[in-house]
Amino acid sequence: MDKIVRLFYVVFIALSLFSRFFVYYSDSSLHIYFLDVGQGDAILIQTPDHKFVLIDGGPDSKVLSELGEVLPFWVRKLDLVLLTHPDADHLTGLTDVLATYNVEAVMTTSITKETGIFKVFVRLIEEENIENRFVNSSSDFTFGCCVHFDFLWPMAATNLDEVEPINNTSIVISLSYGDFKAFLAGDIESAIEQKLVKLYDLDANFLKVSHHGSKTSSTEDFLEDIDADVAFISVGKDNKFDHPKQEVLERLNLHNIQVFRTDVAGRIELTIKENTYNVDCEKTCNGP
Amino acid sequence: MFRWIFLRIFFFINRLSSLPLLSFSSSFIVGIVLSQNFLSSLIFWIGLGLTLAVISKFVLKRGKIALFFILALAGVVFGALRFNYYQDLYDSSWIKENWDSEVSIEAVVAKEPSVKGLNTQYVLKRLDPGPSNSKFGYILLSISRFPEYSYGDKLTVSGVLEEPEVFDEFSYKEYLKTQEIIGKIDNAYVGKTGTAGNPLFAALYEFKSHIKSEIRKLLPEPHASLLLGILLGVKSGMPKEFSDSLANTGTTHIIAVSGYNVTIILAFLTGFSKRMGRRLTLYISGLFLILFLIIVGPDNAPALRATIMGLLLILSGNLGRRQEMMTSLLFIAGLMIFQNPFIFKSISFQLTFASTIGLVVLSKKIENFITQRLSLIGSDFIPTFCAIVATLPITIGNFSTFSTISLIVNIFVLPVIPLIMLVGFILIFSSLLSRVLSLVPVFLVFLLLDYVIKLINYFGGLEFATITISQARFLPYLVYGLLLVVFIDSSYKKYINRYG
Repeated sequence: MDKIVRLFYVVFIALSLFSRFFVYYSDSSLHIYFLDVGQGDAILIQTPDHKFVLIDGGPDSKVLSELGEVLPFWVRKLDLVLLTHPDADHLTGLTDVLATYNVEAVMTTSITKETGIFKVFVRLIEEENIENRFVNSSSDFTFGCCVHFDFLWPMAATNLDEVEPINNTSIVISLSYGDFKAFLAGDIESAIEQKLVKLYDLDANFLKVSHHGSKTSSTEDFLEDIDADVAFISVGKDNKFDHPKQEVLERLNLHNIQVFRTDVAGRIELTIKENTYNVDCEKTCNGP
Repeated sequence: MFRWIFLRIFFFINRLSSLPLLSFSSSFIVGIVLSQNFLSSLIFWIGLGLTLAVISKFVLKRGKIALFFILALAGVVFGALRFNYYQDLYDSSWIKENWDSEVSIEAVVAKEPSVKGLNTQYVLKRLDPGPSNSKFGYILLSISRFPEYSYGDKLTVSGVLEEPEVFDEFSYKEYLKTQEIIGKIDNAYVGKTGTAGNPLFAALYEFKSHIKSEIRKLLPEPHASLLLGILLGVKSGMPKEFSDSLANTGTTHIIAVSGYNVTIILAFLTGFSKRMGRRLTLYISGLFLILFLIIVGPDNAPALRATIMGLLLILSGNLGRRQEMMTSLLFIAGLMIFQNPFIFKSISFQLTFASTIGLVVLSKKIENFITQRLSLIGSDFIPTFCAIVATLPITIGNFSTFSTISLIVNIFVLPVIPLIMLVGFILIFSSLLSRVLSLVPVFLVFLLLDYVIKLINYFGGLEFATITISQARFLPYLVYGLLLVVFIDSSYKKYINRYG
């Protein structure tokens, strides 16, 4: 009797392990997770060839729990961590990430900030011997098999020390995969949005709304140029800034853009496969 | 060699003839309890009266019991005196005198720091000169996580020293008092000026820190935090959502180092004694406990208590009778309370104490019950069941949100805990040797932890999971007080039968 029970346990464990492996490795879609880290940003990208990019880490350690739920437990390595700008609501979680995950490379701008948390960030990069690359608009690259990172801001020629406020030094990325484009706006404000409208043809299917839906961003011209179908807002429940602002939500509505927000939906998963896409929410996808 | 020493001490205690020791220890504890809950000036009279009432029952019915009577009286008075002395230290401390004022002090980080969300909490001991009786107590400093300080760092701290709050349902002030923390400072200017503190402790905490970061690298969250909680009682860094789920399902105790975890492991190990022989089990258990204590941190009071109780259990588990073990337990408990009388109000102490006694008293009865009625569950479950039953008055009496599903969840979660602890410790050792070696334990422990986490998250999210009841803080005292009286009474009967 005992032996049968034991055999059962072993078989059960083996099956559960193999099924996890199987499901994971047979999946060849692009996944973009807008992690639910509260009032901050953290975006995890899983490429079709199973590489991982984490863009920003949120304002606290919540990003670790989110990664714990999204990544298979045997994945302890992140191929790339990208910090758009060194504000605490984007940076803090990355210190925990650097300390617990095996990070291959880090990309930031050359901007520094005189805060305790930024010093820890820099120290961890040194201690863990991680390659830290400063990027700008000339740093475009294709990640893994087929995901292209097009850096739109800051420009190579920009003197970052003269840019105010620090939000406007954010790395802005246009991510393309197959026929789809996702625009990740960091925390840029209207001044930079205007510059980008003039410099580029900003067309994209998906938009990560800048600065958690603050009214200093997401201007009319900008939204018009992007012409997105879906927008994602990473924002904390009952945050003290009242993000996202009603006027921004109305503008998005006027342009017929479907909006998903993390304070309502929890973690949001955008899956792109060949020529279709799908949005899944941890809680409810429907806005308030 | 340690075993030899410990056995000698144990036999010495027993040779003192249990009953007088039993009465002294228990009345000492009663004295402390009464002092805590009533005006201390009344204590002599109330204590006197109570003891007289209880004893007079025996006096009238039996013959000479002068020794018993005197010891009981002495115990209560001694308890009251000790408590009053301690209370005076608290009242005359510098910290209390400076509540709600701006201070600038030099202090050393006296315990292992604890991360809570975006802040880290440091327990500080003042280094400023002054009369020794005003130096009593610690200050709890709560500041941003970065920059980080460690055990033993000497700091200058400038800020507002506050009296801890007292809420309706919970007195933060009383809770901190059980750890001898008298005041708190939130937000301060802090500068490091050097290091002090015990270098041995510093090295141990360094080692513990290394273990924590290794585990965090091997497992995702909240698995890593849960494992560290179960193994080492580390609550620092636990994701808030998960600790809320633990609270809602009444399973927070699995991450508290208490008699629970230790007795379970020991019961588990003594199961091996049939195969390995008593001596080997004794040595392994003793070694294990000492290693455990080292890693958790010797000044971690709950761990220390659990370890001592545990050691006592193993050594006497194969020797002595129930009554003698009770006496020894009460005596040890009395010693701990003597060292810090405020400890009696600490829930962690109460749980350790109650679960160990529960194991001693109840295991035979529960074993019979289970083998007769519920043979399906198996004998592994007995120690945990004893612990649950024995600590019920405490959990019900103190936590105003009573978890309705707590029993169900605990039944499914607790049997897995010893296994998690076993594989977890194997994982720690193997990770210290090599990463590759730890792959198998990692996978096993991940599955076990995942099972526990999914269970707790599921039940924790259910709407009917908790019901609010008004606190019945007197309940534990009532239940245990009655049980103690019954026990002393039956012990007394046996004493009289044997010695006339």
